[in-house]
Amino acid sequence: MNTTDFLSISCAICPERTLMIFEGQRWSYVHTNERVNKLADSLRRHGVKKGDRIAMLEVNCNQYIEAYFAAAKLGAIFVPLNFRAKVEELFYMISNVEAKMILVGDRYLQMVNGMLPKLPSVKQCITLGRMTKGTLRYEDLIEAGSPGEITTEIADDDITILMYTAGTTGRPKAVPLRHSAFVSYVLENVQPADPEIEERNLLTVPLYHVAGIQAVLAAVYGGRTLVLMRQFDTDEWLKIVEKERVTRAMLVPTMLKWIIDQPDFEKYDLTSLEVITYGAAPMPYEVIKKAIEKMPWVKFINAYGQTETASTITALGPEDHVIEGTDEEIEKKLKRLTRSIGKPLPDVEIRIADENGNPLGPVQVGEIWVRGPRVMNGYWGDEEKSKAVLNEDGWLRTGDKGWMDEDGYIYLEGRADDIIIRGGENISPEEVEDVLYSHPKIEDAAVIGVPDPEWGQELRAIVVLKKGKEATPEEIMEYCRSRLAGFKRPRSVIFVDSLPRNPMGKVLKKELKEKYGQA
Amino acid sequence: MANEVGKRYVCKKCGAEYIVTRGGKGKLYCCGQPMEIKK
Repeated sequence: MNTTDFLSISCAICPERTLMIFEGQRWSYVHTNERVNKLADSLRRHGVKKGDRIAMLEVNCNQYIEAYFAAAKLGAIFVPLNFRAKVEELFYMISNVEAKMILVGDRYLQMVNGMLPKLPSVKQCITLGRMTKGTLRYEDLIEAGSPGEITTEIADDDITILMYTAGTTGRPKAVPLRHSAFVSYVLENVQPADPEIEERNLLTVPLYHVAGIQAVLAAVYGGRTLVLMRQFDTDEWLKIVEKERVTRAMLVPTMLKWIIDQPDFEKYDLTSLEVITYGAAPMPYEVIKKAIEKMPWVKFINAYGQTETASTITALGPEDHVIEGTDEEIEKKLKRLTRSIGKPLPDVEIRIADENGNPLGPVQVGEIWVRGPRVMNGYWGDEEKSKAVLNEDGWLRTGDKGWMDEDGYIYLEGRADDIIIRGGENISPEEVEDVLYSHPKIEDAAVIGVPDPEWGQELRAIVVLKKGKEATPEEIMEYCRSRLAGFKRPRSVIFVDSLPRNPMGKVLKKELKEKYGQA
Repeated sequence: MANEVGKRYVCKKCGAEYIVTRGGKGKLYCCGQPMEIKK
């Protein structure tokens, strides 16, 4: 089975159901499939063969999903590109995979045209909007193509997507995602299309991120309707949920915070929402607590995973977001809500290991390792980096520190790179950041380690105050004194206007360390 | 009983599951016995 089967199975079960809603237009499953076939046929006539890399540079839109399935039906490899990447980075990403074709949104055309003379592998540029000299136009390709089904011999372990993951050091790495990884995920975790059940998924996560692609493939397999937004906007999100009666949404923590902090929040009817899945960055406890209070009818799921694992590998389910029961149960649930990423999904093996890869027992902190059909078998063209994270038994080192409790729940202790070591004690910045978030004057916060001659490292808090609020470093440090063990308290505080974050909401600690990490 | 589009059937003996992508008049069998609709 491969990902194109997700589309054909759903087309058979619910052909007239809307697959995509985007900027006022709707496409049914059968209509989308026809467009996909036509595009695939045209691409094939223009020389696309199995294994060729087709890159795409655009914000979310219906064409993104069509282009993915067209590439998949040809056995080609789809390469979604980060539309926020700088020119040098884009050039590297396109040349590294030797893309044969690139589909480009109008906004990025000038930039791409400037690069093309130095990209000999790219034989054709396809514009998604207007026609320009030397390019083909997307809608023209669809018009010219044949709607007949495309049949290509696709093996389960063929690569369907090369997805770049931003490293904390060096260049982005291309992760080969195979059909089998996505098939494993949906067969174990998603209900297939049902003619009697209709769901509407609001997609705001960019499709160059594995969470976005996973959401699309799960939705298509599940026969759901995908409501697309070009990019996240808080007001738009609220309006669309109300208008389209959205039932499911996936959000990164920053998006959820903006939504629940929106002054007009109460104005919108969000009662259609059944499930909100969040992930891609750590969720501050204060944010999820407020979200649960404001939307008590919604089932929340914390999904943890990586590009290297074709997205979600553990989940903290809805039942763990309902804080009720005996005192002991409530205490356990609060602890889980604050730091747990839940339990492994059925097709995933997880181990907490020491530096030598030896499994550790419950409550012992080590690195989270993962194995299973969703784990990549190496970075594209980078054996050295692959060997650094994969062992010969197929275990992948996630780079995240964590531990497992006696009930099998996994808890994060931060990125191995971000752990602060003060006087031999390991300190997870997230624990300190959670305390800072609870301060009534603090809007946003991050904690880094700075060199210290006595302790090796000391903690420094980088703080964004709420609008109109003032505070002193002493006030912040005093607040932490009563809530944290002595060795975990920040010894200095810097106030900033905002924290640097990537589009998924992750704080760019590397940038903070470069700017504020001197003693 | 006819099989219907979208219905899932499971074999109680071997656990295999089938999803109907095109309905028909026939009955679904696996391991020599009728399959049941998955609940």
